[in-house]
Amino acid sequence: MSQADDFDAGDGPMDGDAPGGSTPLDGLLDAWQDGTLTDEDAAALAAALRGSAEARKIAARHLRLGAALRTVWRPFDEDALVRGTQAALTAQRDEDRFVRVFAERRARAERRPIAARRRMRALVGVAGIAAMAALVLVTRGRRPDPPALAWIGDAGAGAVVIRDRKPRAAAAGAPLRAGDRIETGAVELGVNFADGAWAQVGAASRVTLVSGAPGARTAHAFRIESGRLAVEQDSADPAGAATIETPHARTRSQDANYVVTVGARTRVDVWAGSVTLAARNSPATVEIRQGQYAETTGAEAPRLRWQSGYRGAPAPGTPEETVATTGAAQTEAPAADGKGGAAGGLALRPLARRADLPDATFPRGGAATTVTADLRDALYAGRGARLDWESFVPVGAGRWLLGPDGISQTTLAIDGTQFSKDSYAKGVLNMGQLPLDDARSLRVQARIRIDEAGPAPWSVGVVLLFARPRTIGCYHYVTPQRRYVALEAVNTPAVPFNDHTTWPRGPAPEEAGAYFIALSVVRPARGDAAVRCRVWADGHDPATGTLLEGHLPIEGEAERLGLRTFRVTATYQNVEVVPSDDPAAVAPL
Amino acid sequence: MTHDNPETDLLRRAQAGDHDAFAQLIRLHQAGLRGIAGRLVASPDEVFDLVQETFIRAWNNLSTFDPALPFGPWVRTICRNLVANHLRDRAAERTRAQRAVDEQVLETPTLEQVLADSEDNAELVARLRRCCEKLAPRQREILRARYEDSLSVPEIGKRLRSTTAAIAMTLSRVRAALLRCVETPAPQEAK
Repeated sequence: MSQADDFDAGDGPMDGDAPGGSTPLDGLLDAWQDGTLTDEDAAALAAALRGSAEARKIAARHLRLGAALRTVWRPFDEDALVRGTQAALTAQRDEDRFVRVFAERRARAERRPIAARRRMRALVGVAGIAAMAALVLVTRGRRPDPPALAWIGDAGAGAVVIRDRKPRAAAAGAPLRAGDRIETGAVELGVNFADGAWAQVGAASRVTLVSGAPGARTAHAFRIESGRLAVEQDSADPAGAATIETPHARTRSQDANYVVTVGARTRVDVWAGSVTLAARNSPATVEIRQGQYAETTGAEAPRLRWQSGYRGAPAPGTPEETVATTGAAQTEAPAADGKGGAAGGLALRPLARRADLPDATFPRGGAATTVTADLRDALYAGRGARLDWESFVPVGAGRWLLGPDGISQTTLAIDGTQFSKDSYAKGVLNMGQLPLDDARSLRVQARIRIDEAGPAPWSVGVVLLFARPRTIGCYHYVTPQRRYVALEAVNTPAVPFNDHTTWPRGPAPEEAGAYFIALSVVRPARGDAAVRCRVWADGHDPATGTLLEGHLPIEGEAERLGLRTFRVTATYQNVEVVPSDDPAAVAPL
Repeated sequence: MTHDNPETDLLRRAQAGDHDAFAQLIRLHQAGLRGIAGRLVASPDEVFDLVQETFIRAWNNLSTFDPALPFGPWVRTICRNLVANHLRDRAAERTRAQRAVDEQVLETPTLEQVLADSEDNAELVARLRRCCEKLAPRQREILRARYEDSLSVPEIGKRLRSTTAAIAMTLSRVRAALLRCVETPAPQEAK
């Protein structure tokens, strides 16, 4: 019988008749692969595999065929594999000091309880004084160096510290004194302060450490001529305030994480806390809060904006404040013992394929929730004329994207897939050509249902994105206290993003060709997300024309933080889109 | 300069940090790794991840690898270990019956045998593709639902308005036929 005969003859009786030529072992192996095996059959199959080399050989044939069938029907994207692997390797290679030091610092800090940290700081202080005293003794007779204000945390080869007009190689652990000028060249350099504050001087930056204000116990004061400086403070003590002078402005902060970028103007991006920015030649001062940025050339008042890639900051009227549940939804108080949950009173209980959720934001699995969303994001999702009718709305577990093509896709999934997959975090709610100039704020009502939820297999970690011109990307993790983990991406239609989706929006002009690093670490104690999307002027090898992505996980972090992911289905039979005619409802920016 | 191992140059370049050379190694060996991972892991995405992770681990340990040795067996060993770990990690998501078999499969002799790469996966896929072209439309439809859409057998029955038993039976028949097809040398090969 020919092969063709095999197939032709099989067409009729195949549909329901007993498999001709198949052995019981074949049947068991098929059932195993198809997930239809009974316990009894499983025992028989296991016994066969255990006791018979021939059975194992047959199993190998079946499994090999199964693998090949999957490849035939779902062709493997070899290019994606190469790109993805190279991205991961590049991410490893390019994992800069900022990222590594940040993660290490955080891990160390979180391992130490607060009391221990205070003791440690005291010890550091005492040790610092002792060291300085020793230094004075050793250097008696010479003009003593000014006291150390900070220490170099980590530095790549090539960074220099210029003291008394003499450049010296920046070495990890070396003290930094007032007047020290840091020039990073192609690398970055971390600066540690005794009180736990930390700064990262970006590549191609020129920064000078200056004395702090009189009476300040710690001096976090810099003058930056050009480049980039990231600052992280974890203290509400006014004596530990940080000040940064730029050619255009001056910032002051305490208990904040932010990045100051200096080029033709000064831009300040705040990731946590708030920073005051005063233009040098303008009386105006703005307070930049989490998720916002402001920039100034020095002559005009700083302009406050929402960061285009950042929507983790709660904006007034965002859905968390407007969610209304139907009768089917249930709420639960946080677990009293706090187990399985995050700090701050919220306990995310273990979720096993059902949404056993702590409040109305997340109803139980199968329950429906009507969500009313004020789409204020539309105001700052785009800039200028390119508003593009799109916006992410953080509804419950994820975000809806409003696009120009009507409501066409109604599934949102933040599921267990890792990065670079095509099935995560995609909620698209396209709403047609709404006249946005008349509707600066929209209201959407959608009915959503959480189908399943489970422990987050995601890791919390570092995402490195290398962007081409007209392509940007940024990921967010939102903290447990905001009760969801969100993820988003932005891209132009021309360039497939991460092999999984295309987002019809280009970057702002200053973001074109930028090199982003998004560092996402949830901080349960603070209830916010440290998400960093940084732009390097030098870019990451755009000449290669390759969009790369990598994710550097911090093992165990997601589990420790009790993150959960959710799969949500939305139905829009009752969608109501209400253009807002109340400009006052839109928060001025 | 010639080497017994034609990949030696690529390996040396990769060891020196050349990503392009490593990319070539990925292209050369990814099919084999897919064939290994795909045997025990049904999800194409998870197979992708396992293969990628294999190469990442290989890269991270490349300095310890003797470039005179063949690269394939080494990465296949890494892949096998990752697949085994993956199955153990995912045990909670499997049915009790599947777990019982998985546990047996994870025993060393079984695992070695079922994951042995006795055949070039790329060649097998090419042959299988030709064999699939001979299937009746309904058979192809069932295979597509099972392997392209990753539907379960009951879901396929629902979609095609057939019983679960009938779909399972058809799948068994088709697989048996495909096995015969791919394992039978083509006439020109037989000659």
